[in-house]
Parts: sequence; structure tokens; C-alpha cells
Amino acid sequence: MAGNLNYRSTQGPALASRLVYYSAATSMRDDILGDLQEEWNLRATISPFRAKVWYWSQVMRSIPAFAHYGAAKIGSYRIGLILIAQMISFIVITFWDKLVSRSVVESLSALENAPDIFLIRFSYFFLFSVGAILSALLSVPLGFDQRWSYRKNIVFCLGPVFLIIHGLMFHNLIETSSYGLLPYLLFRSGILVGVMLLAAQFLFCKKIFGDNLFGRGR
Amino acid sequence: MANKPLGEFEIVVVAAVLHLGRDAYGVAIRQEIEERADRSAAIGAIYTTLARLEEKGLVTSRLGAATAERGGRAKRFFSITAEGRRAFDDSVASLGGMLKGLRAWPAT
Repeated sequence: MAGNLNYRSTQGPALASRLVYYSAATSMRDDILGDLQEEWNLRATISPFRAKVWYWSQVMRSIPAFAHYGAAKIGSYRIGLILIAQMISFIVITFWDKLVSRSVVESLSALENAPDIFLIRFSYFFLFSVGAILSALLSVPLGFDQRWSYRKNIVFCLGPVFLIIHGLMFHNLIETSSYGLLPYLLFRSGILVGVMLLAAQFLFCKKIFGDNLFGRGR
Repeated sequence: MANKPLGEFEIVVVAAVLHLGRDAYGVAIRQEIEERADRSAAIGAIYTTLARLEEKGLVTSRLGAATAERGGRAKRFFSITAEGRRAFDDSVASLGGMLKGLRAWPAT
């Protein structure tokens, strides 16, 4: 019975429950969600706000434990495959940057009536973001589609991880140049999106590897 | 000592299960740790610790009845096996040996 339930049946904060649902091992997630809901029900009668804070704190403190438990379950062979996949994704994203983003920006700069420097840098950021979104769009369906071959899933699903590395490289570039404040802030926002994508990657990988990423059943 | 000694948090969790007896399930274990050890434990940390102990054969679990207050989910009750009890006793004895003599330190 418990195995047929999903996070939607929990009355606690939906997003927090969803995090538990996707990050905990299948064998324990219903037990954990049940415990959280039982205690949340009691706390919510006293103070709904405090109950929500408590729920979120439990979830956020539990996720490292799930990851640690799961990491012990992954063999070094799989970690090696993931690293290779990350390298391939990195190369793809780098080529996108070299062939699309930078070449467009260089063309703009070379124009006789070149646009404002802010516009040029914003164009770069925009194109860079398009690459990131394309990579994420590739990841989502592949991550959730179990019919794809194992190898294809691995190769494509970790692209956004490399966007972050790539972003860090760009960060170095922007730090050493005379860029304005706004492009810099925009870039920082891009990093934040990258981190969110990284978190999403873990969820996609869980879908691909099943319980082998964040722990298998007891 | 046949088994690897239990870690500090494992000792805490096993002690909570022993204290609770037949009523040892996630919420009760978490509250027992909070009351007795005066520390807040994440429910995920408790479950992953129990899962590891179960894989080693030190803990067993059984499902109780599903209840509405848990959204129709069943409680999972834990109990310590004979081997688990031995591992716990050995670990506590080992820890006690290390602490022996230190208790004479003056309290602040």
C-alpha cells in the first residue's frame, strides 16, 4: 500500500516532500515521508509557520545523508563513466561558446557602427544562456526517458554540470576585464541558474540510475 | 570483537531503539534522541544509519499498519538483533575504556 503513494499525498510543504521523494532511496522514502507528515501534523496545529520551517530544516539536513548513503553504493566504474560523460559535455559546450557565442560577439564588435559595449556583452551572456538552456532541454527528456540506452543517457544528462565549470572560466575572464556592474550581476545570476541545474542533474541521474545513485533498497 | 565498532551516531541510534523497545519507529527514535542526547537529528540521517545497520544484520525492521495521520503510510518498526546488541555492547565498552579516568576532570 505504502509503495503506491507518492509525494502528492503529503500535506507538508510540497516542494520539500518532492525533494525527499526524489533524493531518498525508494525503500525508505515512504517511511520518511510518513514520519515527516506525522510530526508535521502535530506541529502545524501549534504554529503552521514553525511547522513549515521545521519540515524544511529536516529535509535540507537529510539530503546530505541520502547523498552520502547513495555515494557508498556507486561503484568506481560508474563514477568513471560519469566523469567521461562530463568531459564530453564540457567539450560540446565549449564548442558552442567558441563557434556561436564568441563569433557573434566578435562580428558585432567588428561592425563599423558597433553597438554599445554593454549590448555586446549582454549578447554574449544571452547566447551563453541559450546554450545552457539547450543543454538542459537535452537533459530533461533524456533523464526521464528510461527507454534510451544507458550510454546515451550518461553522455547527455550531465551537460549542465559543465556549464558551471564553463561559467567559472567566464567568471575569471569577466573578473579580469573592465566589465560593467550589470553584466557582472547577470553573470552571477547565470551561475545561480547553473547551480540549480546541477541540483536538477542529481534528480535526473537518480531517474537514470534508479536507486543506485542515492542508495538502493534494503 | 568480530564486527567493526559502531560509529558515534550509530551508538546513539541503537541506544534509542533499545530504549523504545517495540515502539521504535522513525518519529519516536528522533524524539528519543532529542530528549535523551539533547541533540536534534535529521530523520534522513536516522533512516540511512538504520539502513546501513540493517544491511550489516544488526537491525531488523517490520511494517506496521498504515494510518491516516501519516497520509496512509505505514510505520516501520525497528529492533536490534542479537548480533546488533553484541556490537553495541562492544562499542560502548570500547568507548567506556577510552573515557575511563577522564570523568575526574573538574566540571566547569
